[in-house]
Amino acid sequence: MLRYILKRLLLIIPIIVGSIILVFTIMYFCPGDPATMILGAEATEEQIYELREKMGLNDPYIVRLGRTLWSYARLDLGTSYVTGRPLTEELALRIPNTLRLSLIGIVIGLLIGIPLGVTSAVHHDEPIDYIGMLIALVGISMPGFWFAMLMVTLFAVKLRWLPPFGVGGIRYWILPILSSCLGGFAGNARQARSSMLDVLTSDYVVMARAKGLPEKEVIWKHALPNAMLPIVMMIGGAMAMSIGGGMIIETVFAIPGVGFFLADSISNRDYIAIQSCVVVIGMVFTLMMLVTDLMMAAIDPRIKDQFSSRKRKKAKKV
Amino acid sequence: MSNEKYLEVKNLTVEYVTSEETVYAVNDVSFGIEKGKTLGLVGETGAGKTTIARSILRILPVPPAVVKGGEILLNGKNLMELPESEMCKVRGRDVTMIFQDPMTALNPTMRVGDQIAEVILHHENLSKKEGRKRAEEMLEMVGIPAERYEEYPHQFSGGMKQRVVIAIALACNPDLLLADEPTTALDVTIQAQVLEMMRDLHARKNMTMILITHDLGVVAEMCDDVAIVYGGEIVEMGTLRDIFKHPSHPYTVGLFGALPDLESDRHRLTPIEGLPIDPTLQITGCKFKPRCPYATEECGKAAVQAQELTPGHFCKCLYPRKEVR
Ligand SMILES: Nc1ncnc2c1ncn2[C@@H]1O[C@H](COP(=O)(O)OP(=O)(O)OP(=O)(O)O)[C@@H](O)[C@H]1O
Ligand SMILES: [Mg+2]
Repeated sequence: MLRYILKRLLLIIPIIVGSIILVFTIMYFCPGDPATMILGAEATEEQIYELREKMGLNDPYIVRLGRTLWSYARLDLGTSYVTGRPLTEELALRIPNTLRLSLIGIVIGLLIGIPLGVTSAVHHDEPIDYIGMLIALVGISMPGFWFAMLMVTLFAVKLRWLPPFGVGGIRYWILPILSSCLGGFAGNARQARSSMLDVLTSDYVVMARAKGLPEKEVIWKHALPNAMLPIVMMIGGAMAMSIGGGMIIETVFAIPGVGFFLADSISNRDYIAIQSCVVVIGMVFTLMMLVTDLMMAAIDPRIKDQFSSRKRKKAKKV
Repeated sequence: MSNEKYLEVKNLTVEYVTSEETVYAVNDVSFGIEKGKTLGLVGETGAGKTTIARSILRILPVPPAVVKGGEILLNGKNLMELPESEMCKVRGRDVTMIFQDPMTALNPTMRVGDQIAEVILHHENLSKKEGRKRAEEMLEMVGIPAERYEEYPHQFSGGMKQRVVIAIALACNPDLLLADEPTTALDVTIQAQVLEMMRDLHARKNMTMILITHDLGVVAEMCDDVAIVYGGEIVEMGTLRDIFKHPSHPYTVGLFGALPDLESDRHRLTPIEGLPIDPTLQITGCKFKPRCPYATEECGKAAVQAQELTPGHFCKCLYPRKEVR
C-alpha cells in the first residue's frame, strides 16, 4: 500500500510537468504582450523591446519553456507583472482559503447528500423520496453564484445576520460554504439514491436479510459500503467542480482565494499569474484524485488488492 | 394429508407487478414437509421455484413482488402474520437459505469469515471472539482452511464461495434449510462433494430441507418427496417412488423423457416440445396444454383440480398417465 502511494506521488511529477508545458504553450500563443501591458499604450517601440529583452520574452520558445520549468522546480512561480510581488507568496496566502472553502463544502455536501439519497432510496416511490429528490433537483438546477447572491440579499442585506463579504471569523464563512456545498450535496444525494437502489436489490443484500439482520443493519452495514463506491468516485470530480465554482463564489464574497486571484489575473492579463494559478489548481486536483483512489481502496478490497503485492495472494489460492 | 407437517405452504400466490406487466410467478401453490424430510422442488427455469423459497423467508423484493395470498405454517405458526421483528429471529436461525448464485450472494466489501460470524453473533449470545471461533469451525466444516477467514469473496473461487454460502446457511443449525440449486454453479466433481456434505449434515442434524433443482439425478439421490413445478403451479407431487416409478403428469413424463435412460433400452431423447409458457398471461385451464401431446378441448375449459391418484400422490391432470417406468 505504502509503495503504491509513493508510486502515485511520483507519477504526479510528469502530470504536473505536462500541465505546465500545456499551459505555457497556450499562453505563448495567446495574443497580447506583457511588456505592452506593463508599460501602457504610450510606450515607444524601443522601450517595449528593451523590457521584452529584460524579461526574456524575446528568447525562443524552448528556452523560455526550459526557464519556466526550472524556476517551477525551485518552487519559484515567478513575479506578478501587475503587483510585482512573488507569486509563490501570493498563492501561499490564498491556497488555504480556497481549500477551506471547497473541502468544507465537499464534506458538508457528503454529510447531507448521502443520508438524503439513502433515505430516498429506502423509501423508494414514497412521499419522502419525492420530497428528497425535489430538494436535490432544486439544488442541482440552481447555479451556485445565483444562490450565493440570493443568500447575500436575504441574510446579509435584508436580515443583517451575516456579513455580506470578506474574511474573518466563522460568520464570514457560513454563506460561502453554503453556496459551495449546494451543487455537491444535490449531486451526492442523486448519486447515493441511484446506487443505493441498485445495491438494495442485489443478492448479498437479500442474503443479509435472510440472515435475520434488522433492516437498519442491512442498509448501513451491507448496502451502504457498496453504494459508496460510485459516490467516492465522484468526489474527485466534485472537487474540480467546487474549485471551478469556487472562483465565482470567491468573487461574489470577495474571499482572497486562488479562484478570486485567477479571475483578477485574467482581467488584468497577468499572464504569469494565470499560469501559476492553473498549475497550482492542477496540482491540488491530482492530489485529490489520489486521495479519492485511496478512499476507494479503503472501501473496496478488490481495488486494494490491485495496489498491494499480488504474488502473496495468488500463492494462497488453492 | 396429515397435520404433523413441519412446514406447510397453503395456497401461496405471488405476482411481480411492474408498470409494464404482471408476472404470475406462483399460483395457488400448496405443499407440506414432515420434520427431517427432504422435498425436491423440480421445474424448468422461470417456473417460480426461487420465488416460492423466498416467500417462505419473506425476502421477496417488494416492489415488484406482491404476495396475493396464502399461509406459510412453520410448526403451526403462520409466518405471513408474524411481525417483522419476530420474523428476523426466524430468518437465519430457524429457517435459512442457500442462494442460487454464489457469485453474487456474498458481500464483496466484507471479509468472508465475518459474513459467517455475523449470523452467529446475531442469533446467539456470544462474544466476538467466540463468534469468530465458531465461524472458523464452519469454514473448516465446509472444507476451507480457517486461515482464509480474513479474505474477501473475490479471492475465492466459485466453488469456495458456494461453500461459504452453505456455511452461512448452516451456521446456526437451522431446522429448515431452503437450498436453491446449491450445486448448479459448481462443476461436477465439486457438485458431488457439496451434495455429500449436505447429505451428511442433513442426517446428523435432522434438518428439514427443500431442495430446489432441475437435476433429476440430484433429486433421486437426496429427496424423500418431490414436487414438480410448472408455470408457477405444482403439477405433480408425491414420494420419490411415486414420481420416479409412476410419473403421471405429461410434463413429468416429459422431464424423464428428456433424460437419457441408461438402464432401459430407450436411449432416445424425447425432449418436451415447445417453449415454457409466458408467465405474464393469465390462463384458464391447464398451462401445459399447448405443449401436451394428450391435451383435449376439455383441458382448456376450467382450472384443473389436483386429484389424489394413490395416497399422497397428487396430479393436476385430467388424463394422468398410468405407465410404470
Ligand atoms: N424481481 C422480479 N421482477 C419481475 N419478475 C420476476 C422477478 N423475479 C422473478 N421474476 C419472474 O418470476 C418468474 C419466476 O421466477 P423464479 O426466479 O422464481 O424462477 P426459478 O424457478 O427460480 O427459475 P431458475 O431455475 O431460473 O432459477 C419468472 O418468470 C421471472 O421472470
Ligand atoms: Mg431460481
